[in-house]
Amino acid sequence: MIGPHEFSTAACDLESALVERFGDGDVTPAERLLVLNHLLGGCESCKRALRGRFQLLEERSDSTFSMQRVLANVADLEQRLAAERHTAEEHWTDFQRHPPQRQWTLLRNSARFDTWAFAELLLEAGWAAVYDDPHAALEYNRMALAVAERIAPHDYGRSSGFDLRARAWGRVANSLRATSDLTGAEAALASAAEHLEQGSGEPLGEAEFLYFKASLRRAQRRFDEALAAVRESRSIYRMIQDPHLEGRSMLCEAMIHDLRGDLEQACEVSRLAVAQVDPRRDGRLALAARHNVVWFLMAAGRASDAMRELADLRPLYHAYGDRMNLLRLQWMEARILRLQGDLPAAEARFREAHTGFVEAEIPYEAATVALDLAVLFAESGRTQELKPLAADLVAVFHRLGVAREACAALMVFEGAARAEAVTVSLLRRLGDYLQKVRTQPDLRFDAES
Amino acid sequence: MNIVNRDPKTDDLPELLHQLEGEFSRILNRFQIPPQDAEDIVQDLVVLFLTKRNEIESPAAWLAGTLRMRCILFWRTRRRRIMESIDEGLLQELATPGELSQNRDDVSRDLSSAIRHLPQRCQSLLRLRYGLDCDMPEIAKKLGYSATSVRKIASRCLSALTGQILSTAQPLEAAK
Repeated sequence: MIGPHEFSTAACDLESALVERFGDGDVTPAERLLVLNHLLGGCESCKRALRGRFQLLEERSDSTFSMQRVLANVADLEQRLAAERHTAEEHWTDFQRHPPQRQWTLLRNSARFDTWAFAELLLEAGWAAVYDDPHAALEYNRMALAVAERIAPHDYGRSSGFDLRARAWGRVANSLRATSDLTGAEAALASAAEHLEQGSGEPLGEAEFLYFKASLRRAQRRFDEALAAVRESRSIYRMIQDPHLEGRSMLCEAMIHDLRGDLEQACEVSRLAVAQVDPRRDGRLALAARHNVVWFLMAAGRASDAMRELADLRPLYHAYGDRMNLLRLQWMEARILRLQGDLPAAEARFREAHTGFVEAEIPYEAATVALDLAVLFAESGRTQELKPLAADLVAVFHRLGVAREACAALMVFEGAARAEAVTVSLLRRLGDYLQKVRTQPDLRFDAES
Repeated sequence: MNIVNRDPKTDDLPELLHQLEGEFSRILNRFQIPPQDAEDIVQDLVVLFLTKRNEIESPAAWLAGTLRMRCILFWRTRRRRIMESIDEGLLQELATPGELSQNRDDVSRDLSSAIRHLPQRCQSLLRLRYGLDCDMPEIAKKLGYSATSVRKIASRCLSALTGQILSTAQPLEAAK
């Protein structure tokens, strides 16, 4: 509507309603041409009317609204949401007792799960599972997406259905990233962006999308884009005064600094994140923040400081008992022990972590830990032990369907192990290559360079 | 867990909203939201709040911040619709066959006049779009932009063109 404080087109012969519809994009092709020609013909009053809709003008009038009327209009929705949340909790208790296959059947066959509240519960479950079992998280997030796609886009207020779909797609992207499927994560993130574009512009959704984007770009080693996205998400969280979620974004930022080789900055941002993340809201995230501080100390070669911080932290890993976090603990302990020169203990931890990542079907982490172990063998001159390690790794990559070129690279490693020609330099180049090939599956490993 | 565990029953939403009424008015006025749209925007905001309330840490900050974002979105949507109407109109007019050629020539002349007042980068892009009927991938290729950046640049150029067509400062050559 062109309102009283905007200009009318009274001074010309074109109907103001037609100009208004042109401004809303609600015209037939013939009407569009008519108005366009009229504008190009220089009609000042029509140009002024549209200019008032195109840019902020000097003219001002008060924007008034009635809060009483707003509250009365939303009362029904508020009651409906409260009732749905209550019912969803009841359904959730029963739903959780079933295995995923049965859960999918229930979702497909019954409309009783098609509510905002049930989709929220699925997303919460997916979020909680991502630390321990990214594949289970992916399953929950896909279920949430299925529910979100069955809810009409405007069923819970204008555009908010798109927000929910965007959020579910973002969570799917994030869990795919956690399973090392970066190609799948990229596609899911693009879907999230498309839905967000049609959504309400709600800041929590925008900031979460940016956080997931930053996490994915970080994994893809596109660090400039990752930093830009994570800083944008931080500023939104700051705007809505949510220090905990800003701390989560800071955690991501610290990891980007680490991968860029700026350990000092990584450690500093990480410590700030520890101060902001609220363990009562997300104990696992608080643990992850402190884990990262220890990791960066270790990476900086400060083994004693790392071990000291870890001593306070270790009980928390076991308290949560998450498989992925325990595997990361083992991997980190192994690296610290290696730094401290306790090679037998380091080897035992590397082996445990490697076996764990293989069982969890996280191939690139499994391979990176195996390469750590291989470096340890190579540095100790234990060339015979490299052969079964390399052969196992090739078998694991084939079994998990990892990209052909990555398998080929590991076969180079296997060949070198058989020929007793593995060098630490080759292992380091393989490690770098494995980071890159996650996002560039056609990238070839150059054994000679 | 991502959710802030707050009991919705203990939140006094009406009281909070009444406390924020003055702040809402200031934001809506600053963004010059027309009165007939202001209430819709506030209502959409409250609906959003109801769907997200379990996750919101600081309701007052979220409500004020979201209202600002909604106002920006309101203007962005309005601007985009006008830009699209003008863009589609121009593409349609310039593609109209023979019998209306006089009108098309007039439009071409007016368009050229408007484009001449824009930055050089926009002049090149818009001439390719309207003069040579190039699509975005072709424009990106000819001007050396990436597929993602060409859309942003095109959007800025179209915005500048729309502003120019709607402006009074520069009369168009073929004004009738």
